Amino acid sequence: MTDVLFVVLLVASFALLAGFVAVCGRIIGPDPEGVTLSTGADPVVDDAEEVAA
Amino acid sequence: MTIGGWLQLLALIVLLAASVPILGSYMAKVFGGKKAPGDRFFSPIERGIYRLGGIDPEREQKWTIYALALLAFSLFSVVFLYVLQRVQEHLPLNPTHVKGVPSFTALNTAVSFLTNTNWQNYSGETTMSHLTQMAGLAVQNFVSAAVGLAVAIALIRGLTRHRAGTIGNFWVDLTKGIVRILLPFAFVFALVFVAQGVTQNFNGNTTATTVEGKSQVIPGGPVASQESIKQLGTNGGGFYNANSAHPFENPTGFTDFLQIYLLLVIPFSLAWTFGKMAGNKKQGIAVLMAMLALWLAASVGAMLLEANGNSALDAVKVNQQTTSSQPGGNMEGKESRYGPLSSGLFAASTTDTSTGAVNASHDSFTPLGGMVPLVNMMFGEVSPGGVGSGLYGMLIFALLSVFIAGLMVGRTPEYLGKKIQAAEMKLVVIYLLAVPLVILAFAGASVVMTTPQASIFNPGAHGLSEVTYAFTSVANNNGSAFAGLNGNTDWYNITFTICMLVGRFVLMIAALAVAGSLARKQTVPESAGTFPTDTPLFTGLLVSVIVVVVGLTFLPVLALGPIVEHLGL
Repeated sequence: MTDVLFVVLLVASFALLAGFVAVCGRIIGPDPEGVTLSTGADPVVDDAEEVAA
Repeated sequence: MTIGGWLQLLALIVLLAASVPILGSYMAKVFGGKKAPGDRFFSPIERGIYRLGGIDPEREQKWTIYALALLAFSLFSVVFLYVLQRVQEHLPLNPTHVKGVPSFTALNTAVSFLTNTNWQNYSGETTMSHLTQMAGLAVQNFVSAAVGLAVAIALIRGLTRHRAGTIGNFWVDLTKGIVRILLPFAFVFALVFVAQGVTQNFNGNTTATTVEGKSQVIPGGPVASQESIKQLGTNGGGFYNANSAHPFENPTGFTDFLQIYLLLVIPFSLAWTFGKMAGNKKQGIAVLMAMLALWLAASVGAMLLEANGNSALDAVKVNQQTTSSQPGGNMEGKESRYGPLSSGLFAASTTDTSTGAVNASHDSFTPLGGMVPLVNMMFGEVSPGGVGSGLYGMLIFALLSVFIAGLMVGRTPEYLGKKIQAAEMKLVVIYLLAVPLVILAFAGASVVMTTPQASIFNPGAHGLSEVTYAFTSVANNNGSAFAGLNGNTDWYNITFTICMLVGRFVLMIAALAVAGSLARKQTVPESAGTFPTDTPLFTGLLVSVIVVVVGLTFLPVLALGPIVEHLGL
């Protein structure tokens, strides 16, 4: 019985955390309108290409 | 402090200075999306894993999907580990016939290893089967570190990408972290530990007769393979109850030195990775120097305070000087092979990172010496912190620092060309307040409620330090125990579990949200009014902000605990 209760509590905890993801999503708001966002990776630049400070 | 102590510290710094650029650059290439060393060997392994898991490695995720994938993976991991502990008596590789772990301890341990805390309310050699140690705890040592690494890399991407809707793919980052970084290095160092005499077998208990004719039980098991990832992944959970003070876990001066090096090397290297991925090494070096300054101050402080000994013993004319026959200093609770210097360095390093392994009893340190590990954890494990968690914690402090600097000069703060606005600052504040809130609330409740009080072995200021240390340790996912507190009660098992979950996942989600918010912003070019964040001035500001924020939060409880105890000596 305790085992089932603990597993249920763990699932509930992670459901709460998923809810927190939604809260953070509200804090930062939706993606800006009229702007196309890229979805690709940015390669690491080599030392020679490094942007000078 | 003896010359030997200074030389040990110097050797560690030299070794780290040599390793950090190499490992940092390697990690930048691994996560950077282009060719990386070892592709020929690792790529087929990764492709196999992706195929098995139905993962499309080319498909990137928004921060919300990244966070939900992380949570789903973590939920599966924690339930698996809980069940494994409960049914271990019916499974193979249980030569000592240990029973299933009691439910409250199993819950605490499952969450503890999931969150990279490795707080242990049990004695490993008498509670866990070899299968649980290997398939449960050691596996979590790898994956929990890799999850932290993934979040740090995602935050770097958020800071460095321009108008991007995605921050990477959680499954790919997790796989790369395990396959290309943690597994190969852990394998090599496990062999070094075996060569040095760390136990590695599948034996149960061996009964031996000592030279005095008495009977002694010597527990065996797969220790070395767990030991290397215990340190490398900043996990800290020992195979044996005595952790790194046990001669089978840490047999020589060399293994002691190596363990300190291993727990520091990835967190420091990640700052270098940050500089490389940002395309400006100086940005990484500024963060690295802030981490180094805090770690060095703590290490030298702990070593000096323990080497100077206990002033109460000076008063009764006990000789605490270093001589040919004694290491000197405060030897209470120390392993005599390591003495106060190595113990001080180990204590500072294990709490500056989120490791929590110990080679001495922190409860037996002098009051101020014991305050050093406590304050290290209160810093939020950023100096250099845990694998991944140290870097994302430090970057959150960096955002706070540029915000404060922006307020001073009346300009919108920027970091790496990204404007830091209200949304990011709300998330930064959530990140910075969540952990102190659970530490102070639960520690406060524990010292006023009757049942939790019964678990505190020492009265007065020292007892307060013990309770505060325990909650600080679990909430910051460190896992080291001060001792002097029976944490294996229902109250502490449950409250520690809550603290560990908050300290891990609330902070990770906040960091990922910051990453998502920053990734989609455009990068603005530097102007005359931009506050440079790659200079010693910024490093100084960053360190100052950390010290002030943590000081304002925790000074009252420190004053009532270790500081009062020191003044009472």
